[in-house]
Amino acid sequence: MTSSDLRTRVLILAALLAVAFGGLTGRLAWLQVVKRAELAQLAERQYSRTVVLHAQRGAIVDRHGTPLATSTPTESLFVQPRAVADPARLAARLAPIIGVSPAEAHQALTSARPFVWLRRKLPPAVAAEVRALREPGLGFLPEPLRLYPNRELAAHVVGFEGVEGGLEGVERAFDAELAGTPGKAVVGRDALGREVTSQRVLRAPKPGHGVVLTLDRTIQYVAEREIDAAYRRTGARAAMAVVLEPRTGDVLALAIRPTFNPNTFLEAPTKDAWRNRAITDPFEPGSTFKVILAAAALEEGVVRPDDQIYAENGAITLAKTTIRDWKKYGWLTFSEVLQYSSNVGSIKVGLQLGRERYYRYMSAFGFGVSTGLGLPGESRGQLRDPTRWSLLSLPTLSLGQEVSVTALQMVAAFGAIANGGTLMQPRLVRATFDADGREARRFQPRAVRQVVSPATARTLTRILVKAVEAGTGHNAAIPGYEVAGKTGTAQKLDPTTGRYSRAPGVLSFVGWAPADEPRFVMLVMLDEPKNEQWGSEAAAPVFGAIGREILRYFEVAPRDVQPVQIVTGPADTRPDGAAVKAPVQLVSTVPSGDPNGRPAMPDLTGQTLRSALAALAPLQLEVEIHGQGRVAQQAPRAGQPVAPGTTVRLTLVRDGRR
Amino acid sequence: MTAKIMMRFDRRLLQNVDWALLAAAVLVFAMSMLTLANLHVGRAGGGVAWRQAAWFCVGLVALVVVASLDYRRLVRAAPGIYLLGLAALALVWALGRSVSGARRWIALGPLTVQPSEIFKVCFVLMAVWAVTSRWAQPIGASTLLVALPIAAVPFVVIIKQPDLGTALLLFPVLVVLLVGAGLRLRLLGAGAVAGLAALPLAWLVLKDYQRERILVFLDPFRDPLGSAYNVIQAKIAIGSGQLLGKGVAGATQSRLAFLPERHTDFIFAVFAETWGFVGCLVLLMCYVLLLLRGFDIAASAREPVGRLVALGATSLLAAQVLINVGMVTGLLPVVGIPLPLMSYGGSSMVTSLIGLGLLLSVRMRQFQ
Repeated sequence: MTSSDLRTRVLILAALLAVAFGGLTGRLAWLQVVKRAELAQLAERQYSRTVVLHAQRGAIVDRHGTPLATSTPTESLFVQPRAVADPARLAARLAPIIGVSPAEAHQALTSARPFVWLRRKLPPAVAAEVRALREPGLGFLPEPLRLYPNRELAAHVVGFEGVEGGLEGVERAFDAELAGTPGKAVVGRDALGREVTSQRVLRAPKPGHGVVLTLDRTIQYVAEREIDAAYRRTGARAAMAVVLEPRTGDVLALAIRPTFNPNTFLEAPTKDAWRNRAITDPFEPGSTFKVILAAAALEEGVVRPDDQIYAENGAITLAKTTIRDWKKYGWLTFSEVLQYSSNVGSIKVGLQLGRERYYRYMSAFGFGVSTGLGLPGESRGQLRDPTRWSLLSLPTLSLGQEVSVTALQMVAAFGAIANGGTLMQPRLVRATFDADGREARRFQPRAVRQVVSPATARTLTRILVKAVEAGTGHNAAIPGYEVAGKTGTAQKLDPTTGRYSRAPGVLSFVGWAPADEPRFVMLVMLDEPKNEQWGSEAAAPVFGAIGREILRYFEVAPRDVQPVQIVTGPADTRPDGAAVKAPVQLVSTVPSGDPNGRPAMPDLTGQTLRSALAALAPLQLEVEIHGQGRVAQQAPRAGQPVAPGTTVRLTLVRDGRR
Repeated sequence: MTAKIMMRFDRRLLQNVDWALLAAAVLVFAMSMLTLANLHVGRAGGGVAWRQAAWFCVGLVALVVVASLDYRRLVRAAPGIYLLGLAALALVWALGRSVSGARRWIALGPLTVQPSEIFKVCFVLMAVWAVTSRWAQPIGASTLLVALPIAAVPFVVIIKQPDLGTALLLFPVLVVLLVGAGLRLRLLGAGAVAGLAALPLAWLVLKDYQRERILVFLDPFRDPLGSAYNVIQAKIAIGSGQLLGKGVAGATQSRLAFLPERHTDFIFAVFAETWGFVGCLVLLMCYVLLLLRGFDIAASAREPVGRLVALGATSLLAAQVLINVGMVTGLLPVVGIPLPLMSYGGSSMVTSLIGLGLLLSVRMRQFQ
């Protein structure tokens, strides 16, 4: 082969090399130009992860805005044990900060799993302290913590939140509103899963709505305090107080024992403590139910308060069963039958009323159906259809047996009588509000039906006032006020004998005050109190104690105090500059606005929100507030008659911007 | 002696230094530095770039020394150098350091040396010596008989380390040398057929992981998280670089450690992700320039030894570039071959620069 041939061979080799490089270029073009979108997407998917951003859970507040449940941002600490170089040293540094034992921390740091939670929901300050350690392998995820600042207060109403949202109470019933919508973000991560870039928010979390309850924290506190004391004193199995506002059906307080701290609900001794017994546990009401019978009998004209009824000297035998009174009574007026809670008298009235009519009224008072309060687990109680009654059913039902009711049903039924015969649906939630504090949903008071006429309600009220003043309920009396109410003692069916045991079963008192202008209706119930020294009327004094404080809190003047006129000093200055001397009255008898006795709308112009609300409080109005500062406009105008429940609009303006 | 060497440098030789070749090499090295400086590998962070620079300096010294020596003297000394190389490979067996299951390195104080890299140059010189020896004349079947054992012995030794890539690399270099020596293509074809027939035997010699790599090459999704992981990650990195690259900061796949071996064998994927198709073209153009200068040196050599030394050195570099880029882009199975002048690694860098030194040595003496 010649030298030039060999040179040609070299050039051919060079050409082959060029072809090979052309091939590589083609391959690169295929990957980087033709398939670029697909491969770039694969890359993106590999290094970025979607993470959930928690939404701030809405607050639960009482009717005045006092928080009962709030959320606070916390961070949960995790470790990726493989990235930890020296577990022993890290455990020693970390343990005291996050409050676990070094041994516990060491165990987590040396775990074989790739991801271990070290401590959930650390406050921001602690999280910052851990971050300052600058140790590899540790990481945080934000997790809001639900706080119940008032601990046990209203725990059964507020409920609590578990990992997956609300588990009980309003937390559960309004979970959808409270929870909000979680957001999404993308985080860049390396091959070991460590976050390397800051979050890019795809969808911002939408904070949940807050819930305004009808509860009044002060009344709730008083009720809890007194119920707790009674629960301990009597050794009862359970105790409760339910307070409603008769006019609106608003639940002002709902106190249950046993109770629990919702912050640490898992530490409650039994899950029984979580139960809102006022709505979940029906009981046989006993004598308090005679009021329902009386309402039906009076409305139907079967009896009048002064009709004489012979109480058979304390015993009556029906269908071979003898039913006795505690005392041997002779002739009693119908009023006295209730006053002394005579069984014989009640049975006679019941027999006269008849099963159909009695059943109609029991249903109309809301027994046997859910009250529609809206909390989870509400029982309907049990009211059997008359076609399934035995011969003895009518007499026993007249005594409040063979029927089971929830405490809420009972107090709502009494509320109907207090409210002039109109049954109101119990209302627990007034409104929901969004993250900016604007009202999102409003729940209006709802009248269910007129059960009895106002006249019947008034008549029955007088009877029940006597029952407290001179009857079985005297322990419930509140000095200075008229209280209407009735005690109840129900024996429980002994499961072994099938008969009513003689031991006190459920002791209760249901009533309202002041009798003619009721501000509250309340049920107090003690389930199986053990301490006999308090006898069959242990519930009544608890009613009195709570009721007294409620009336004082509402600043309801005692009836033996005459309205006093006080002339205020420098008086309010109206926008027009004219000083007025307004008489301020200590009682709720505001100057009448019209011939029907409806009160007049006061002039609120120029007043602060606080003083305006104080002036409106006795009128029982729904107040809508716009703006901040002092009242600039009001509707209705001053002097116009306003009925309770009327909506009042106040427009407030800051000083200087008027 | 010193004066004599200086004389040669000063007078004729320096005029014939191939500056284009050197410039292409320096450009590639610069791109290597740029890539390594932005890869935070291991605890040292950017330390690999400085170490790479230090090795480049060592390699430059070797290049100057080799270029100043007459390549004919080196080829005459080839049998000795070759035996020394084989001895070094044997030494790996005795006191080699094991890295991820392979025994390829010898520790020399703080440094580790990979004898199979240096051996590539020894092999080129020895092959040239053999092909031009009198036993190989005339060029024909006897040449094959002389040349084949020279590749076969180190092949077996290196494949046992195991280092499949380097072992396989010997054959294309040998083929190019035979072609350049004027072997009849028919005879070469017969040799190739014989080689193919021996492939099943080679399969038996392969380690399990090497067989797996070849199977994975044929079907990448055979084991996406195991052997194919490198290939898939490299493809994703290269493809996501798109036309213009993601830039230094945006190269997520390489920087976030999704890509294994990213500073050594797979450095091309990092470069491709960072600088995109356009960057790759620039890099490949540098290699093409460098290699075409090598062929030019071979073509313009006046005598067979010079031509063959230049061809051997050029084909050694060319084969490594083609195989490395081919495997990183998924055209070829993954075998451990570094990208000359780019991949991090002292032995590879020094070897590549010695190869360039041989080319310069031939170029500088082409008119003698």
